[in-house]
Amino acid sequence: MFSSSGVCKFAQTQRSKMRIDSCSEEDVYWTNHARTPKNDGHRLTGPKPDLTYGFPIYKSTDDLPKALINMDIARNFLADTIRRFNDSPWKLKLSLTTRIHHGDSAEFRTSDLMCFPWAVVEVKRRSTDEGLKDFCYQQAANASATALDIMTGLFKTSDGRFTNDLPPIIAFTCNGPELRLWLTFWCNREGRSVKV
Amino acid sequence: MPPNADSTKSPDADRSKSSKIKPNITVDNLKANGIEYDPTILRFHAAGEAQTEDLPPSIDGVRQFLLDFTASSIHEDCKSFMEHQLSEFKKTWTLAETATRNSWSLVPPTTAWWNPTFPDAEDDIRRQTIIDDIGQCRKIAEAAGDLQAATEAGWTLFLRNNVFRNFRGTSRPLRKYE
Repeated sequence: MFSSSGVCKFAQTQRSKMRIDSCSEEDVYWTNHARTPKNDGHRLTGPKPDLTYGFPIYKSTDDLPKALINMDIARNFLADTIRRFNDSPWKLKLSLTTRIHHGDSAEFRTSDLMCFPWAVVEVKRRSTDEGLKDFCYQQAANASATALDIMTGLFKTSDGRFTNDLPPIIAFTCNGPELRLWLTFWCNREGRSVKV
Repeated sequence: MPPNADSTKSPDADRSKSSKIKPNITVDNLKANGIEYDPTILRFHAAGEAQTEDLPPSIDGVRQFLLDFTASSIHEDCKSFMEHQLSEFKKTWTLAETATRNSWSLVPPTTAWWNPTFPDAEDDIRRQTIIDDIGQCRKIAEAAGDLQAATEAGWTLFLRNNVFRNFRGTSRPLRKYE
């Protein structure tokens, strides 16, 4: 318990220092990131973590904190900018859900106003069933790898840096009281693969 | 739940159906999509000790940062208190538990301890804040102990309320030591 509390505190401490505040949402189904089926049928379900940490999307400049209105970095998080990335030749899908691209801003839920997930949490009950534990790990691997994909898309279009330079995505798995912290990152040991 | 959403049903139930047709999360499917996961727990290294072998330097830096307690370090005065608590708690363990149970979550790692030289008054405030934090963590741990047979929904609610708190609509005053 101490360990998890300490890690949680890291996130909270960071919150006070970030110019663009982090946010979190529960049970968001990442409709914008359902994976394309492969020819061999190995299709993964879309991520739906118990908790997703990411960055907020602002519907308009009116929603931006006043001190940030004139800052370019803050304006990158406006809904219009996120939409433009999607409409660009790179087709970058930065939001978790698709509603931001099609819906009326008045209908946006808070879960629609999140982009760049950087941490996920998966929870299962306490069990001695190793299969259930493994399934929790696999769900976390799926979600965090998708989050890494989102970051990678932007990274590749920016300055051509290598994906190995990307910071990892953080994942927590909770099998009852057994909490684990995972890091998801690119690993080129066997070609282009993600290691969790 | 949407038809393609991340399923929470048991893996046994998943295996009984054809994973070739329905979207599914399995080791094979993850691997086919270029995702490998390694459940091996990395050995903890305190700052200054040898790096973890398998992690690239940029990733290992984040790992060290996540496990660095210097932002929320505990005054060394609390060490004897926490060790005493652990020894008292261990008295309730069975012989088998003594042999197998980990105590890492009951006494923090070396990097968590902190012994600065600050003016006494400021030090007292910090110490009291940390003692309050430890007391809060203990309450959470005790509450978790009552949840052993809880359902997934019960654990989820508990963890959301106590460990993974929602950022939205919450604020926390800066503490003296921040």
